[in-house]
Amino acid sequence: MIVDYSVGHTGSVHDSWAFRSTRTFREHEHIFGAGEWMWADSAYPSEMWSVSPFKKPARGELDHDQKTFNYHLSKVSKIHNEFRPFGSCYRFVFVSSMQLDC
Amino acid sequence: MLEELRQHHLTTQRQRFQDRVASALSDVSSSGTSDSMSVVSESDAGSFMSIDMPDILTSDGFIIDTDNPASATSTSDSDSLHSISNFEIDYYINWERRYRELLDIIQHTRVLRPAPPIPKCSQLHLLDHWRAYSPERFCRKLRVAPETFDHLVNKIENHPIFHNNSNNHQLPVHIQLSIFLFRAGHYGNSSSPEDTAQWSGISVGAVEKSTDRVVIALLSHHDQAIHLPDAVEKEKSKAYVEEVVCPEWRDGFLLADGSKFPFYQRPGLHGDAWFDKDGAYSIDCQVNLIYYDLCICI
Repeated sequence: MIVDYSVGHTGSVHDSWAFRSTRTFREHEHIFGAGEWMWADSAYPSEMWSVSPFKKPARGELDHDQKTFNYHLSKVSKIHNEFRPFGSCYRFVFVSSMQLDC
Repeated sequence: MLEELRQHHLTTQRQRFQDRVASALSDVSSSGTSDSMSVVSESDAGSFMSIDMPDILTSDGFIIDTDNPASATSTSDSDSLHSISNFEIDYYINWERRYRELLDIIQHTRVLRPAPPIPKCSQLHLLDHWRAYSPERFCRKLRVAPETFDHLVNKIENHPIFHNNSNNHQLPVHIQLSIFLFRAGHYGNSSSPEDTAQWSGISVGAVEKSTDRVVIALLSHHDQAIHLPDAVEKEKSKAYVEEVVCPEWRDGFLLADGSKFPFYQRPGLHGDAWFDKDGAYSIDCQVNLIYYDLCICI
C-alpha cells in the first residue's frame, strides 16, 4: 500500500534529493516510533530511521558481514521489482491528473 | 506571398459566410415577410456587415432609400407624413428581426463544413466475452482483473461527476472506466484519443470527457487509498518483514523507492533538466510503501 509520494522533481534529480520533498522525510520524527525505520536502496541517505545497503568502496571490497547484510536486505526490498513495471502504467494516469490541475 | 495568401483566405471566408447568410436570409424572407413591406437601405445594409446584400433583398420587395424619405414616399405610397413614420417603424422592426436571426445563425453554427461521419467499430463487446471465457485477455486489455474492475465500478459509480441533470445521459460508468483503463494501460499512439475512439466506437470528445471524469472520481478516493498507516496496517507490514527475514528486523516496516515517468518528448521549458540517467526525459516520483496488500491496483 502506498503511504506517501512526491512528484514533480525533474528526471535529472538524484533520488536522495527528491526524497527530501516527501512527507516521510519531513515528518520522520512522527512517522517512525522509537527503533522503527524504513528500507531504502543505496541512493538514499543512511540515518537512524533509514537503512540502506553497504556501498562498495572506491578501492577494495565489502567484507563478509557486509555482504551478508546486503543479501538479506535485498530480500526485504525485493518488492522493488514488483513496483517498477507499473511505471509505464502510471505514466498516463499521472499526466491526465496533472492536466486536470491546470 | 503571405499577404496574398491572407487576402485569399479572407476572401474565401467572406464568400462562405456570405453564402450562408444569403441562404438563411432568403429562407427567412420567403417565409416571414410575405405581407409586410420590407424597407431596407442599400447603404445601411452595406455598412452593416461589409458584405453586399442588395441582391438578396431586391427579391423581397421595395428598396427605398431612407436617406431621401420624400422620394421614398413618392415611389411607394402617396400618403401623408404619417406613413413615413410607419415605414420607419417597419424598417427598424425588420432590421432588428433580421439582426436577431443573423445573430442566432452565427451563434448556433457549430460546423461550417459538415463532413461525413468517421466509420468506427466498437470492440467493447469483446470485453464481456473475455470476462466470461478468458479473463487473461480482459486483463491484458484493461490491466485489471474482472473482479478488480467490478470493484472499481462500485467504488466510483456514485460520484456526482457521472450524474448530469440532463435528458442526454452519459455513457454507463463501466464503459467510461473501460475507456480510461484502456488509455492507462497503453502509451504512445495507442493511448491517444483517436485510437481509443476507434477501439470503443465513440467520439473523440467522449473519450476525453470519460477519461477526465474517471480521473476526477478516482482522485476523490485519494485519501482513502494513500494515507499514513494505522496501527493494524503497521503491524501487518512488520509481520511480513519478520516472516521474510528475521524478528530483529521487523521494525523496518516502510520501504522507499523512486521511479520515473518518461515524457513523450523533450519538454520545451528547461528541456535538459529533465534528462535522466537512463537517457530519457522524465519526471521523478518518490514513493513510500508499506508491506501490506501488495497488489497495487491502478
